[in-house]
Amino acid sequence: MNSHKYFLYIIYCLLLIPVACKKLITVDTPASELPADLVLGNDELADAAVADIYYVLSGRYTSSALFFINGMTADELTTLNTSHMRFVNNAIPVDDILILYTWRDFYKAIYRANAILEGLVSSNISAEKKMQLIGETRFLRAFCYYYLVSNWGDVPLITSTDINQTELAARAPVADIYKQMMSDLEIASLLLSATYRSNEKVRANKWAAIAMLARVYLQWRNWAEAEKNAALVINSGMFPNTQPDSVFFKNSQSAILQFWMKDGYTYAGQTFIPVSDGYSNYPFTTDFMNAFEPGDLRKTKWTSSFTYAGGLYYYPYKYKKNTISTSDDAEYVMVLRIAELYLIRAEARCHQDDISGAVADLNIIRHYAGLTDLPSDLTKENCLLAVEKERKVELFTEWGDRWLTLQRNGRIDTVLKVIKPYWTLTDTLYPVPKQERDRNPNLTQNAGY
Amino acid sequence: MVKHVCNAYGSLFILFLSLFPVAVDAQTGKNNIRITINSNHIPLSGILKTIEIQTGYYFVFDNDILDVSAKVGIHFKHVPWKDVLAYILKDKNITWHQQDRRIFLQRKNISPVPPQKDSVTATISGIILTSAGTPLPGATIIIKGTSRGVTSGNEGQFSLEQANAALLHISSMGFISRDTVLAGTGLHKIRLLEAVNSLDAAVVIGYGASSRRLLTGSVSRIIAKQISQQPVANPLGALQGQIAGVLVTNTNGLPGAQVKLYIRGRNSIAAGNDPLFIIDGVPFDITPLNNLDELSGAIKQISPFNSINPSDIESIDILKDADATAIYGSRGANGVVLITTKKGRCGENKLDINIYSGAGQTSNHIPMLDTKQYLTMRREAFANDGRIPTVTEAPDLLVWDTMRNVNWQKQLTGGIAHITNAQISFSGGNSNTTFFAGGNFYKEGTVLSAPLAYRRGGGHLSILHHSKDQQFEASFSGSFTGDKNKSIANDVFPFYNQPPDYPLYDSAGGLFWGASQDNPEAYMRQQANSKTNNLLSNVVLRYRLLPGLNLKTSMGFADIMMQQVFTFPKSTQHPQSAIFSFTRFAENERKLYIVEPQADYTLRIARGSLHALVGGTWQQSNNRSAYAEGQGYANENMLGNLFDADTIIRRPDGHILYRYISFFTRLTYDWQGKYILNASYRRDGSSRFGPGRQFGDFGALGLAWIFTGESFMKEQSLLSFGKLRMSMGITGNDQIPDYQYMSNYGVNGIYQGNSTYMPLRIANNKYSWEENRKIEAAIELGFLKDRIFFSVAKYKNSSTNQLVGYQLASITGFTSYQANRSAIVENTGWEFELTTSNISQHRFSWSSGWNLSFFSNKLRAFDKLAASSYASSYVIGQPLNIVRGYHFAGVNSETGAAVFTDINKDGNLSSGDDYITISKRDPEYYGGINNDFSYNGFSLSFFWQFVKQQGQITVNTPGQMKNETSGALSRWRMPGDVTVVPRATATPGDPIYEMNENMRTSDAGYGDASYMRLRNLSLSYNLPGSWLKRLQLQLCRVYVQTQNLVTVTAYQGADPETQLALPPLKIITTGIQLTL
Repeated sequence: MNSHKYFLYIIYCLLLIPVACKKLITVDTPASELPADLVLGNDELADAAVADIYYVLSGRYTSSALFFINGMTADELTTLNTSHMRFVNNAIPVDDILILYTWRDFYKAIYRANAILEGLVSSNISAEKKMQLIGETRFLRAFCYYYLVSNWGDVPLITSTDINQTELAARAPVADIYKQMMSDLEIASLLLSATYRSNEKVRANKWAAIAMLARVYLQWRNWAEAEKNAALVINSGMFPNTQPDSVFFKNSQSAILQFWMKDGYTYAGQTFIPVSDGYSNYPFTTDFMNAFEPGDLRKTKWTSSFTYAGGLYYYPYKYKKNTISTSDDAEYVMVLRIAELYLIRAEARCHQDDISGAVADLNIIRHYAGLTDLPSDLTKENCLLAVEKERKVELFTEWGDRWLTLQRNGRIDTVLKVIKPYWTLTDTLYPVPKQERDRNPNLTQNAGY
Repeated sequence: MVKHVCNAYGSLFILFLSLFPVAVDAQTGKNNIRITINSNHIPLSGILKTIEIQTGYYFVFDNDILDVSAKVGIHFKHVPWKDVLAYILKDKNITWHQQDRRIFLQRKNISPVPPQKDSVTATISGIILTSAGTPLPGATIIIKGTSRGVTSGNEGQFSLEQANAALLHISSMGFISRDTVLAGTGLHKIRLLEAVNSLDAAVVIGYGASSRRLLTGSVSRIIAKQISQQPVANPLGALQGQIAGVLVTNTNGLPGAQVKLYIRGRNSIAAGNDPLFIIDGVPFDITPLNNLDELSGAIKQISPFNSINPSDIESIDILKDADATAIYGSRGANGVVLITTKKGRCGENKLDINIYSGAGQTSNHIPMLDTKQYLTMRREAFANDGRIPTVTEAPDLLVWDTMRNVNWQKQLTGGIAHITNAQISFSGGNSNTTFFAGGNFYKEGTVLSAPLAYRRGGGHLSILHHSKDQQFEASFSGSFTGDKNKSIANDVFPFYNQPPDYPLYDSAGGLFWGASQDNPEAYMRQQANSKTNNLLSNVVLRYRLLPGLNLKTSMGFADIMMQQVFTFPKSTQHPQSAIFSFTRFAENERKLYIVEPQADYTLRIARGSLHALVGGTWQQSNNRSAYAEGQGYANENMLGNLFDADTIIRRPDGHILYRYISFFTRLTYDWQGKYILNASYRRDGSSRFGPGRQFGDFGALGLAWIFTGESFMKEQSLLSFGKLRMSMGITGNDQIPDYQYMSNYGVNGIYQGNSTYMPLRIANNKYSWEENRKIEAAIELGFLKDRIFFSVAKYKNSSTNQLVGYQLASITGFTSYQANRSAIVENTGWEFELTTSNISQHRFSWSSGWNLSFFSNKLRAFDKLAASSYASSYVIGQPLNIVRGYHFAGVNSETGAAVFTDINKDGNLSSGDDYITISKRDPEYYGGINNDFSYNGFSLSFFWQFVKQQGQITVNTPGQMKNETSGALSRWRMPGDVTVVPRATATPGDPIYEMNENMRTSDAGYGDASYMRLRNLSLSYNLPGSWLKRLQLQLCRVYVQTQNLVTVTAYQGADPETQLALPPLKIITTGIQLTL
């Protein structure tokens, strides 16, 4: 029975395939990928991983959609896009896709920040580089949380990449988020150097961290810290205020931080500026345009108009580029600029009853806008209204400043219920995306949705 | 006509006769079927064949005793067949006896049951041949009633020591077995007829073949004839409704669109649910190559199966249960589809030409409001909201030409698609070499209002050669197909609810753009061209080492590549977002190499035969993908070229390497054709799993009992075949993305002029194989000589250790990660198949086939479901494929607002807490009914397919700036109105508007989508033989074929199959087939 023997021999040979040849199913890291420890163990690659967070945040949701959504839910913008009337009327569906994507991009950035912070612990990159990257990453993480907490209220506080901790994370109280932001920014301001690492201002340095700290303290209504930090930036002397027509270019003198844009124009510019003889989807409300005092340079420099179906509409014209620009007047996303610091200090001073100090700060801004000075004997109430008005016309369509200001100063209900027929106080916070709640039973919904 | 009557009663009569013991004397027989035969010059073989055809009997004899090539003249009309046989066997010293349907011819000096002669030893020897005369090795020759037997050798030869003449049972896979009485005199030549469409016809199984009779597992097959009746571009389309347990669905009506195929439902929560497809031994990855959202276009996902020419396919075998699929181990969980391409047959060379041409249009449409009705509704909406419409909110009322009335479905998708298909093949060969060479061309237009088309051309070659002594055999089969799909970059179906007065052009003749609407005409100008080249090749080498022991190696190489160019001229983009003209370029390629050495061994043990198979697999796939976008073109006509762009943005090329090895074995023990045991085992290793978790073990056991083989069943003859079978086993699923255990970074964007790196996934190095346990029991029954064949199968599959792209809330940074989940998904079902040969006469025949599948999918268990990210998706005890949402409780007759049930009775309507299961998307049952008629040269077949299911329907939320279906005419208008369509409202933020918006996520959006469809109707006529002779043709057939001609449904939407997508086409073609 020779054939039996043969057959057994064949079986034996074939059995060896899976046993002896584990190598046959081993695959290397694919050419287009790099192992995490290699990336975070190399100065340049780790830097590129941090740069990626800036890249995410400069995208069309966080650096454009958020601006026009905030503008519409507040009283800055209206829309010609009938489907976006849901924002104007503060009737945002829980499954709104723009809301979801904006939320998602912030958390995407947070994950990347956490991964870098965890990875840098055991990394062998130079100490100097490590300090810089940890500083920037903490700055960026705080930056994300600021916009999450401002638009959604309590949000999950994710500081780890461990799926066991994050998968079912519940919403943390606003106070906890602020605590984390302040700690991140304090550390960042210590680790980061006061100079920029290139001739552009597209990576956070010490001043960006302090400016952000001022922004956060203001929103947290810690007037003293807000004033102190704003003053630090102003007093650095590195950021002179400039005329309205030269604010939004790349490397603008008044800029503290900008997001680098590959094509020299921003998503916000693309969104707001009408194409040739077209129209802008998000023109200003009449109410907003009425806020400009006569002669305000910002009205002439930062807004423009078009006609649509017989009507005249104004639109945000801070960014002037909506196509590729390689020239010197190319534009980056403005993240932090000196004017805001004056306004932060003005508001903080006013709350601390330093009316003249507040008015002095306001007048610096008004001066550049070609307006006359305000009298220094305003009542506290009028001074606060003056700050509110100045912020409105100075910082419109930038990071939802108007929306956040109305929340901070408690006037949101008073202001919006007059002009919005469907306004209710619960519209102050956006809905937690349904898609997120569907996947995390611990995520509660905001009231009113 | 009367003389040809041989209906079911006739066969009952025959059946009755055959109840009597074997040797019925021919001369005194009572089964006098009368036959007619008329020829001046016909070989004996022709006469025997005629008798076989007209009586349904067949002859069994040793070729040595009769020279069948001798020609005679014969003229009989309506004469009992026995008289005819007596006439032709006159003076030939041959007698015959009939046993069942077999007529044994023997020399007169050998008695059917020879007397015993103990003392003399002799050897019965002979050669087993196929009907074409090729030696048939491996056939089993057994002396009936004993366990003694041998297997035929390389040249079909056998010899058996046997003193006396004996009744031998000769069988071989794929051939009709024969019983013949042979004595030890001379060398007998025994021919076995190839079995076609019977219990003994070969079916392809994993790494082998079997027959329906002997199978222990569940295997269904459809053959070339069934495919060729259907004018479909995608071979999967031809499977719709044909096979129990197999659900095939079109995704939309554009050429090239994906056709989904599920075998016995979804087993896995989130890993792939695609079956394993194997074409001539080479796995075929059916994942669409255009896997990026940017590359989906109007067609959405493009099925790689479009690159397979349906006419090249000889058979498709579908493996469903554990017994059949476990030999594919880790890849068998979702069933296996084995596709065998056409091969040459030895015999005269023939040239076959088949051409058809026809046209199609969408099978259904949604009835919409006309402009007048629409505008009335809109005005009513603003009045209801207490608002005066503004130009920004209501351009349809205030700006556009309200006299304009467009039916968008008719305008955009109401065209006629022209179809042409041409096939040519040349095949033939001799006993050593056979070949098949074919070429094909197919063209299909689209119903869209743009000059688009799908074209495909290709060739197929198959060669088989074996050495003269049959020791060595080599075969090659290969096909190359190229297709070009000229389509558009965005789906235009969603424009069905565009306001009917929307202007396409502005006053200057340019494209008009509304603030929130896209312009469908612009979409027609954004091209999406895809080009696919598909090469499939396979070489099989076989060496017969020793009798019964074969060595075989199958080697395959497949290469499929898709190139896509999408062009977006600036003039066709919404001016609001149009920055520049741009073009997307993509190239995706998959190469696959596979080597599978195998050995099979057949030996007799006791009274049975054992077939053992062992083998191994080494497989490697290399996927490559490249994507680039060209932005900014000076001239919109130059869009097709990447290098004319101002800026070129390239994404990093993707490379995926997948490796897979395994060892497999199968043992089949067949005890006298009565009891069959089949055991298979496979050990698989896959690179998709992390170190230490790469290997998995799979296996199955199948048992069959052919109880009609038992002696106690011999007494009756109603039941001609009866088999009980059952199987159980474990298969797996590795349809997960590659590299998921690696924590890696990849390039994302550009910042400060340099590439940025992002983490690519949440790595998990702990996941391992998912297990799919299958158990099945079935009974197969053949009645009245198998003229009625019925089978029932009941199965239960349960998947455990679910391997899932586990869904995550994006607060984790990602939306999923790869992990195992301790959930159990259970699929159970019943499958029924019935085929009947209702009338089978010389000139007229009618046969039918039915299949019916009941299916139920259930999530049996899920660890901590309520606290998991699946809490809102699944419910334990319910199917996986459910939709959760509000329960729509009607319209408040006072306010006109939609009302939803407050499930948790907290006074608020909130998503999640107030959700119930509003729809189950899996069909409850489905099946098909086929009828074939033939009369003289005509044949008519019609095939109905039916599905009982729920589907997504259009919801009426009247008043918004989108058109509504005619159902909106019954909307609420004034207090007291009782209706299910809420009141018109146009303003987001209005409480009634907000309430009505919930309709979208309620059960109002789902309804019955059951349908019964005349999937295929085909009528053909074969020119009679006398004409053919004059024309010197072997065959000339003209035909009309239709697809989806009639649909019976109560579905509210476009089409119950594709639902809210472009409906499948209704197609009529006519064609001609010539064989020279």
